[in-house]
Amino acid sequence: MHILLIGAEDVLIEWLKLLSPHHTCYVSEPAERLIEAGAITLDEEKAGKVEILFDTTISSSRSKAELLSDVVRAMPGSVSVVSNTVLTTVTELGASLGIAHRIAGFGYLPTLLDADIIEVAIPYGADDSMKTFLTPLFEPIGKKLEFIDDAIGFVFPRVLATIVNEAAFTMQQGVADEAAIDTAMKLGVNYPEGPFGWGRKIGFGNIYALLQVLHLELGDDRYRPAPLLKKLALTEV
Amino acid sequence: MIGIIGSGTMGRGIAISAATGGYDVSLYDIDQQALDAAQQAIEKSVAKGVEKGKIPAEEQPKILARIRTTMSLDDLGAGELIVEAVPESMDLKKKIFGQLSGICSKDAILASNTSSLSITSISAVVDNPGRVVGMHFFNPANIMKLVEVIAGRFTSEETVANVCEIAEKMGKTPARVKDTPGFIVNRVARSFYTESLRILEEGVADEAAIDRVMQAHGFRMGPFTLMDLIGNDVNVEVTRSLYEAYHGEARYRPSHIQEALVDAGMLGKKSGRGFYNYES
Repeated sequence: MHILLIGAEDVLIEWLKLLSPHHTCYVSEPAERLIEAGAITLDEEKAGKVEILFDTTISSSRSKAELLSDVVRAMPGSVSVVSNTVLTTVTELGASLGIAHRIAGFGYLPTLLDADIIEVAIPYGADDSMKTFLTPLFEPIGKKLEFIDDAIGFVFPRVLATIVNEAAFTMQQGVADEAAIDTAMKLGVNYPEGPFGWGRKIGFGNIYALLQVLHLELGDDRYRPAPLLKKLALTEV
Repeated sequence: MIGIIGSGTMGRGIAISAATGGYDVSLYDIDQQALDAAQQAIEKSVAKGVEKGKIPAEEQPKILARIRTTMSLDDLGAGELIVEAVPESMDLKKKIFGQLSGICSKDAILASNTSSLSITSISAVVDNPGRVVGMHFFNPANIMKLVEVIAGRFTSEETVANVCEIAEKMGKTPARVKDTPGFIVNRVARSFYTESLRILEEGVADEAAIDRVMQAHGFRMGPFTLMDLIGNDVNVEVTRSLYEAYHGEARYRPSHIQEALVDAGMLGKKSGRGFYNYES
């Protein structure tokens, strides 16, 4: 498939490693690292070939709409949009872009691509035919599709965020230090990674952002981010 | 010598770990039948360890010879460390620690394997509460590497350091914890269950899909398979006890779906049905 990728350089590189051996991947900025990772710079001629606008950004509906609206308007109506809606819902993004009939969402945070599953969603009330273009996109890169009802955080990012938050509260209250908490979760209940180890890989900032959106949208105090998590987010390199 | 009180599943596992670490063990219980059953189970478990290559064959008789059983609490008087592993009743634990306070030497360390009770509360009945500490093993205690070492309000740094050292000799990895409800593991692991249940309640995904996703990200078992294995009654009770201990903190709120399953007797694998059906 012919895909135009949008997002931050590090994230794009993670995606390009998977996508570029199987799809023709375009980027609009000719950054050296992106080209090395298999991207092709988009020009006017190639723009006509794009079938999917693939947005990897980790951001709210509003900033996504701002980022994507011009691109979407410039593309023909046949181009489908596949967006990382981990911090919003694809229903909201589809509505704000006015393209509810040709958009699908997926749940992504850095390093989650190590799993062989990708969580995907379509807008509320959308036709099931929306699902059809996801298979030829994700299956060649070894991802099984797991269709989730359209909700903020999907499944894994949401559960993980609450685990990391609980670990942050635990440390903040002086119950144990970071190393003890990670060791305890790995050896006591066989977690593949400790909560702080996960936080560092995925980014405390991303986890904090997800909890903030869940807290705001669901209005439930269980998503209130630990003050220490905010500090970890603000001070991470 | 290490004294162990209670010859149930946890007591047995701790006895094997201590004996494997080279300690003489006195395993105490109030019932000879229970001790006989424990002795047999220990022999079987050590034999299995040899079979699996976890324990060298020549160590087998030595390990077993180090474990003695007794119905006299006085036999634990010479212990440098006593680990209590009786059912989770504060009254029962206080009674035992009160007795130990009179029997054991003043510098013996008195540890509780509690997973949910306050070490500070238990230590209130002991003359020198600085030597009372939590030593929370994980089931099966002879296999699982973690020991949460819990310092109560009065526990001395020396006690904590000594217990960590003994735990390491038993082949364990100690994690130091301050005495608070749920310690580390039972508290941090709640989110794995409660958030999965929330996602199910909201209709975002069903049990099987949530399990598939969590497993795909490296968890050995999905949350619903695991809750069924642990028993929904046991699992919801831990959640409830944390919810109460933290005075209604929203993060520990139990799920009505899980409570309904328990009310309906759908406890999980052990009852044939839970989130999944095991009858067919």
